[in-house]
Amino acid sequence: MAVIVVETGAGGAGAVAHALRHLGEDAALSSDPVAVARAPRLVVTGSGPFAAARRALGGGLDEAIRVATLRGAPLLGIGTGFLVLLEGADLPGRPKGLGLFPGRAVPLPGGFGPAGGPVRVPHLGPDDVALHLREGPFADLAVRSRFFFAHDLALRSPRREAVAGTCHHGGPLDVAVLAGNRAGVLFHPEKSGGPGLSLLRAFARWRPVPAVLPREAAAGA
Amino acid sequence: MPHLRLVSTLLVPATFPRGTRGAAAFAEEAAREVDGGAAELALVEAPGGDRRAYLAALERTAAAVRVPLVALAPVGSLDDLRALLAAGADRIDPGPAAVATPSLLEACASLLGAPRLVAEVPARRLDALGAPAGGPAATRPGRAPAWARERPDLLVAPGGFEVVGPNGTGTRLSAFAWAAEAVRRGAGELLVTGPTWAADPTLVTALCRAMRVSVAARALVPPSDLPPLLDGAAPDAVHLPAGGLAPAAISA
Repeated sequence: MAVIVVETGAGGAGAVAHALRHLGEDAALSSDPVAVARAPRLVVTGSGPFAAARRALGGGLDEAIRVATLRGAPLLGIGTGFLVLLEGADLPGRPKGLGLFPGRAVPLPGGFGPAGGPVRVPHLGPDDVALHLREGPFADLAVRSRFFFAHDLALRSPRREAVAGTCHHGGPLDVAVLAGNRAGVLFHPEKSGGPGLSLLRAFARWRPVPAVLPREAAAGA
Repeated sequence: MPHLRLVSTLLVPATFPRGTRGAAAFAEEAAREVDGGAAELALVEAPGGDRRAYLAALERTAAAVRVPLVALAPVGSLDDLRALLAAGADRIDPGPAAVATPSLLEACASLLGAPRLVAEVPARRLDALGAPAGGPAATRPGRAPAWARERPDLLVAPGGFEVVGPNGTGTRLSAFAWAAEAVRRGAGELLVTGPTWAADPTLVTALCRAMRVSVAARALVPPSDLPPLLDGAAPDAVHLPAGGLAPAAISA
């Protein structure tokens, strides 16, 4: 079943498609809203500023992603491509996201670590992720897996039961979310070697039962 | 807390052969570096290099490996940035040109964001009299960049670390002041280098303690023992020449 990787021109989409093809999966880049809306499964990736990533989903791509997701297509958001699928960001101007995941993007706190060293912002490099939900795209991962991070925004999720993975960077960080047919990760599986490939392979074969989020249920009532 | 990154640095030569085979051969070499333990690859465009050949090498490498790619290549416009991103760069270091024109960093940051923007800190140590240490190769004096001439607080003092411009020319700019300026203008990572290659360990340690962003340093050999990163005194990444990954480093 083909995976459509949304091409926004912000970089990163090609690497996801390369990784999926490396696994023998049928993957294609597309910036065509019609193709995106009809996608059997969808990846939205990115690693630039929130506002730029959100703008890149203009021209109908945002609605196309909503349509595909509400139709039940499995969705994987990666990096900033995941954060723009949240409700919005606590940044100047309070930019809105697509609202496909509950929660907001917030600036990554800095400060000092337990031994007095500075906590680096951006959070950059390979870090250990503790998996709490090992199902869907996370089904084949070890309880503790290492992934590559490059971000300066964190996720504030109101639904603890949806948090699939956490890591520690100055404090606990929610870095993976699973809700119905939607999964999102702050890290970059396409740049994370074996564990990343395991995640992408599991996503390409994932057959989720679509879940209606509370907000959508309320909207439909 | 992220783990130390060992970064292998590959030079895309100015005479890089055009055509598919040249880029493919380069990508095979890059993949061998990853197989040898590199957590990231830094692709350096040689001075006067052919940008099309560089982009082809980057594109083929991005298709061949599953690790982050750092493009060390001059950037003259946002279109240059977009071309590097489209070819597969994950982070971009516009090189020492940013020292003379720091607004370049702000322009890059507007498109890339801090996590994808690297600023170089090429520096040499000065002796107690303010003369460059390190022998005849590092003795060329220079002028402070125009933007820093009216800012005496940014200039280096005797015994300090001076930023080195292109061709090894001194800039009179303090490495600490430049590092802070680069971060203020949007860089999310600093790459500390020396006049030839390796960064001065004293400078690296001081920057690691002082800065909130990731600090990477060039070295000739991988660290034989990895100090705890918790106190913030060790670099977050070590950039080695291609082929510089020793077994000891790989097992670390």
